[in-house]
Amino acid sequence: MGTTASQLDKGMLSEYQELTFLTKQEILLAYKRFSELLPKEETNGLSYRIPMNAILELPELKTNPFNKRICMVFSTSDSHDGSLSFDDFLDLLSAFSDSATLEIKSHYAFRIFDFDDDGTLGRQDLEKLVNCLTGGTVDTSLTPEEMKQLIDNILEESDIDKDGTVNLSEFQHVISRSPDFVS
Amino acid sequence: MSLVTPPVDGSRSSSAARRHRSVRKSSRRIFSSYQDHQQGSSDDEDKEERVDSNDPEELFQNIQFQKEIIANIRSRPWPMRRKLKVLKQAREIVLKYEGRLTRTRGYQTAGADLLKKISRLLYNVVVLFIPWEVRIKKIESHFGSGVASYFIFLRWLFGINIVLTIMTGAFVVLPELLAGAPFGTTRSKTIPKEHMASAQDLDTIWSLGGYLQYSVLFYGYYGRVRKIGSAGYRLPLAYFLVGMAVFAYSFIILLRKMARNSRLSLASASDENFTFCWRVFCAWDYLIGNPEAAESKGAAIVNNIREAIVEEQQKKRETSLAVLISLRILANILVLLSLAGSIYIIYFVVDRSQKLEQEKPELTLWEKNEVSVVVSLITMIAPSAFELVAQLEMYHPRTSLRFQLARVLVLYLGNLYSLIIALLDKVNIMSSSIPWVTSPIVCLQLPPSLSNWSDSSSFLMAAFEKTNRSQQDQCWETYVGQEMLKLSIIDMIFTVASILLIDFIRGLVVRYLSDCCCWDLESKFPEYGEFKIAENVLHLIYNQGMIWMGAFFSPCLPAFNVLKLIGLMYLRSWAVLTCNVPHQQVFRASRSNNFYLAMLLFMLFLCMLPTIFAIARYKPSQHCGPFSGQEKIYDIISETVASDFPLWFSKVMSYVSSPVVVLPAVLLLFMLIYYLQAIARSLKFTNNQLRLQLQTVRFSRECLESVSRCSSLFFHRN
Repeated sequence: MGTTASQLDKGMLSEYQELTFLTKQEILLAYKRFSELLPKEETNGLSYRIPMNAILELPELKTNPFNKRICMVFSTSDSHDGSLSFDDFLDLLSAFSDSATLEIKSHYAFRIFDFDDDGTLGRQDLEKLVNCLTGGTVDTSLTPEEMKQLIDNILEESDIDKDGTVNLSEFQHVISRSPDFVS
Repeated sequence: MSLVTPPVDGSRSSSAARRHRSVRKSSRRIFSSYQDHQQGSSDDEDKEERVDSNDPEELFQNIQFQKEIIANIRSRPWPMRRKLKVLKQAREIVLKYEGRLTRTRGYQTAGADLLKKISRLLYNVVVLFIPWEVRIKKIESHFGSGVASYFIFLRWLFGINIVLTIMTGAFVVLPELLAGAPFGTTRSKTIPKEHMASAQDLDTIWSLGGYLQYSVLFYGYYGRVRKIGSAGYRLPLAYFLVGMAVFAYSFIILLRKMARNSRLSLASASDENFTFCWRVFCAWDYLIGNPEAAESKGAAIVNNIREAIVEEQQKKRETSLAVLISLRILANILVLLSLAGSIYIIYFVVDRSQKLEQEKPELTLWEKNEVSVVVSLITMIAPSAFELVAQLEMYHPRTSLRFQLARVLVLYLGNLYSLIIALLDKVNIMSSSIPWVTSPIVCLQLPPSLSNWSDSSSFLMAAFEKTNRSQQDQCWETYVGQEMLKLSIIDMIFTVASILLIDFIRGLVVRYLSDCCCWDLESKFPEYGEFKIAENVLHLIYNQGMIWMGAFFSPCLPAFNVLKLIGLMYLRSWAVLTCNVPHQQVFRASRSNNFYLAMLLFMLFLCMLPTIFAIARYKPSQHCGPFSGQEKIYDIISETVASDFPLWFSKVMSYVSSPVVVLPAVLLLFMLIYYLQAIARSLKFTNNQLRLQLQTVRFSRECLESVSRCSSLFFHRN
């Protein structure tokens, strides 16, 4: 690895280019940002896991209402604590990059919205989703009647097999028809 | 979760694979690479395959399959560790078996590898050259993707204009500069004597006369010699072809982008409307990076959702219906009046400038630039006027935005068209006026009163020069080019002035005077301005329309537009970051929106028509330009075909362009269009059928389950 933590191995760099949608400059920039978050004594950036609260300090993620879910989804740690290694960080950036395909984006979006990790978007998931979007305060969140109306409408529009939940294919079907999602 | 491959499916399909391996191997393998849950099975299979296959063709197929996995691996939603493992596996197999390939296959694979490496390198390099990326990303993080879409559109137009500049520059301007007759040699390239004295005045330069008029900027400068330079470059032919190619290229690239966008979104393919799902799933703009924008975005989403619910429940507004309708009718009448008024004003002004030119020899600065100033003033003021009027109508904001866009578009089109019609009227007069060749003859018959021979000769010279001047001035193409360029320049000046005066001063006033004023300037009138996306995009489209209209008559117009767009980009991005705040009410303007592209296409079509009309209808000027002396501008093509191509070619061309061939071709196209529409209709119908089928399958599955449960209960009890 070398003495400085800011150098990425060339072999790894070409591997990462192969495996993600990022260009070489973007990967190097990501490594720089990642190593800024590392504690001072840690020299090997590739294997260290940054805890979730440090990741959430990044300005891009701070204001995002789904930041915790994003960390949980992309984290591959065994303890499910939302910590990200550099590999996970690159996965995150790749999924959100401009050149990522619609399938990747919709797949990860589904997982982010699936709050209870059961593989489908049920009523609780949708409720939590809307509450995240509208912010947590009392005056911005919806009343229970509005919430019920909204979720009924969503399920009516997207639930094709009428089982009361939105599964991955139904979600992808809806998303692929939207002109706004890809951006 | 889909991370864990369901073992039941995996084992079932691997046994099936073992059974059918010898029969449908390759097709199933290619198919299975796009199936997530088959991956576990194909892993197992690979280990078996490694032992068996010795057949070189199979080997090659296997290697191709592995390479496909490698190429597509980034599209899999797996964590990095798994992707690395699969990648290593696939690479191992490729390395192991590549040595066993025959030589031709070996070269093939080596070539493909090299190509891949080069394309990746190229991609890394090309990304560096995308201009203004950092700037646009910064704007995106502050204002969201709506505002950034304006700048991305501007950048795309900049790309198109660069290509147009290269086309006109390389094929028309440069040859004329390098190999054409230099300035001052031919009649069309010299400034006439009476204009020589004033040729360097600021006045003349401003109205694009003098040295600018007799330069490569305009049509009149280009020589009519068929072949120039040592290589025999056919300039007139090139001029005509490049003029047509400008339009063709613009059409192609616009249609290609629209097709790509509609493939991405698939929204136009079906009329399904998932309003609620989209509002919730696609609501968050992941590009926002600062808290202020995030807050306003959050508030906007809440409003959005609430209004959707309200619409669904169909609550009506409380204003009385009669008042509302009468107000709306009034507003529409006002708008129509102003549109008609603006068209009339422009026509009147152009007419007046023609008359003034004929009556007075010297025009004031205002009179010379009247036309362009009036047009630009109208384009600045009218949209704001329309917005004020729209407040009378009390529509939903999204509907009123659409009305506003439609009205502004009609205004721009009306302006451009009335301008070009007025210009073409003048062109008609200029090109059909009889050249004053009879004048020297008339002078020769004057004799008796003139005693001094030198007197008469000088009189003759003066008469001859006057003929020349009137003939030289009869260069209508240069005149059209000049007007378009003038319009473009003045439009730029007005845009810059409006940004600085309106947005910047407004920002300064609100910021610094809010302390002295009695009410809070920042939250009530006048407030900081918001960036009006739709109107600015329309203005860009209008600008591009001007360029397309004038490109044939002024080959350097695209180059000027390139500089204009660069300046506009820097000025607007600075203005947006300094003087504007994020929108309170956010309405969708995403990148892949085909609406603006459709309007651009419409504008392109309409702006191409006047050029085509002028080419087909008017005789080119007798004494200037590359087509002087011909009956029609497009005669150059038939002349070239007749003289430079072999005889059979011109016979073939005359057959092809006769009605015998053209009419059946048009008929065939119509039939094709009808056929494709019929296919689209039937596909939509099939889509609906499949959806119903899904529901019935689920329903029947549930029935079966309940029946089996009942029967098991029944048997169990027994």
